[in-house]
Amino acid sequence: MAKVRLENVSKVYGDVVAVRDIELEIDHNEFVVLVGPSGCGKSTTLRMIAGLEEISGGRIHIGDRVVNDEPPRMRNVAMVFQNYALYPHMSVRENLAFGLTLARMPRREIDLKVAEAADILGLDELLDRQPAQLSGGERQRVAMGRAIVRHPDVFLFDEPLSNLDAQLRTQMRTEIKRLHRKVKTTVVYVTHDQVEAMTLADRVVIMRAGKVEQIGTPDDIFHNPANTFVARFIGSPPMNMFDGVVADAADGKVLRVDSDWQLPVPSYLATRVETGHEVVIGLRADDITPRGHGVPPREGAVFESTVNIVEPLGSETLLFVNFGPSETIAKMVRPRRVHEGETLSFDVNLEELKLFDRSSGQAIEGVRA
Amino acid sequence: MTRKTPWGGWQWLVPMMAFLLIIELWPFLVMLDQSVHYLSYTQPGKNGQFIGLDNYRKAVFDDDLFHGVSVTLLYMLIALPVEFVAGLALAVLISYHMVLKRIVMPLLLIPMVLAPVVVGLVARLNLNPDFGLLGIMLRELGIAPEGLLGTPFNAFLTIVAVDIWQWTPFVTMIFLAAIIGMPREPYEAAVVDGASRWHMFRRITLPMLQPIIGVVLLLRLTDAFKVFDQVFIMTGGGPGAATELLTIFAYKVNFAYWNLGYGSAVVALLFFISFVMTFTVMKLINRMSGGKT
Repeated sequence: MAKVRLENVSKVYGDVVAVRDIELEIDHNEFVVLVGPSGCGKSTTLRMIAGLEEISGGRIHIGDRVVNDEPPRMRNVAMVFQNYALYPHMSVRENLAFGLTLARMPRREIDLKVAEAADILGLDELLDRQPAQLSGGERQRVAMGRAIVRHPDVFLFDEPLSNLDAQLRTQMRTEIKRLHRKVKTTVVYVTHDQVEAMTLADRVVIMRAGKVEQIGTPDDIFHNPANTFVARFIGSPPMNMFDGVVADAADGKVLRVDSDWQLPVPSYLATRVETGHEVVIGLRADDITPRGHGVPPREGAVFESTVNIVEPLGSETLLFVNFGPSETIAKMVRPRRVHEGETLSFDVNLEELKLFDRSSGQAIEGVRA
Repeated sequence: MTRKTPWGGWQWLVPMMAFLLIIELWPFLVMLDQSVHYLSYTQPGKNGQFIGLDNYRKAVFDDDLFHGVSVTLLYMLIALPVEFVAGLALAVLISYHMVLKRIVMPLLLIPMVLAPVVVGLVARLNLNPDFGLLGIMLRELGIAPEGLLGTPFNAFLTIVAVDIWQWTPFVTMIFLAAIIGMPREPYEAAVVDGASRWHMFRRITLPMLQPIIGVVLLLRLTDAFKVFDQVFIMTGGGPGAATELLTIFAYKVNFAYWNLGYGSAVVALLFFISFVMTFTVMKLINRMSGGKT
């Protein structure tokens, strides 16, 4: 249990800046996920918190200490690694107890703590096995157990699920969430998987090229992405994006995609854009729905289009349809069977339409009534 | 997709098997045959006479042979532990400072690539108290004025030292390769868990090296047991019989005293000891790693 604060933290390898001036405050018991494409600096940031990488600039606080010059063992953090990093020559029990024996804890106390961790993670049956005899999921649980027994101030997870198969990953995801409810601790979790980030985090930190792009709750970053990168990165399928220009029309401002295609400017954005403004229009598949499927939007637009590709997912179906000069993905909930080549009319939910400034990529904030 | 071949593919082994039979097994059988016959240049009249296990009986009670075994064992008992400890320490040290590797590696390679005869000659010439560089220096310093190979005790220590000089790099190289090849993550996990360098060495490096240690031990044991050339060149087994290893004793019986029947029995015993030793060590290694992984 401790706050973690990163103050202007950066990491430089020779000429390469891996992490640039990160500012981040993590609260007691908060679950923060660092997410981004590979090479964005998320793992490096985590390893700097752990003490496995030196900090090139700035300061890291854990609790009320500046830990920049403290070796990892002084920081009271525990880390779970992507490839488990179990000690291959030790039994599960010895793996769990390793950190405690180093701390010269009395034997009986160690046994108690190991038993407690094994109980939480369901490892009781496996205590005398060797890591080589365990499945991937079991190994990952041992790795987590090794972290739990030490009652650290901060838990650090470095892509803990990426070596597991898809089904196990989903299962372990829930287990990690449950674990966090049980063992109240500050968690910093690194992943490249946006679904993991969304499902686990109290707050998500989205990084790209060593910089923080946005920090917010999962809800926040999904509904109010700060820029086009975040908008594309979060959500599946990714947000549909088209270039457009704000133009005047008889009944107010419109977003002109090309000479034939335009959408009304949503009312919440109307005062924020001026004629001639070059923008990127962002629309999630959830907000382009075939008429009759889903609730009709309060503020909407309608268009007709031909379906090019149908991707049924069971509970919903993704439709790839022409949208002016480009193609967009629409989502049909409670789907009926649709044939490729069929023409349907679609509702566009303008309340959820996002606009981004085309030159900076930053979101244009609207005014909600 | 298996295709039946006539004889199950054994025919492909025939050339190699034939080669081994001619080169290895045949001479060995000839030797065994000689060891149960009388064959010596001292009494040619008795040559070829079948004498059963007489040669072996003689060998078992031969004080000189017993002396050879003792010298060999002592040689191994001193050289091998030193080589292991020094080799491992060097390997760990180099692995901490990989820059060292580029400088130290070529130096380490030198003794390994030298032929044992060359090693023996270099040591012998250098240690000569009259014209050897080291020998003169030692004499001037008042240490071993008769030359390091001149007294039984010094000569024995010197042949051990030369073995250590030649083979420690080999141990270092193998351990270093193993350490470099180890996964990095357990170490990182250990650092976060609070381990010091000593802990990491003691609790992670050493246990993970265990299988390699077994293999190196086996290689060094078999190699050290049959050392001959460098010691023969340096001392010829002397002074007296201070450095008369089992191999040198066997050589002398065969090719100095030309007692080939008895010599064959000695060599057969040498083979037997070496075989039992190797086999035991292999068993031990298997049991050690079998219990752990």
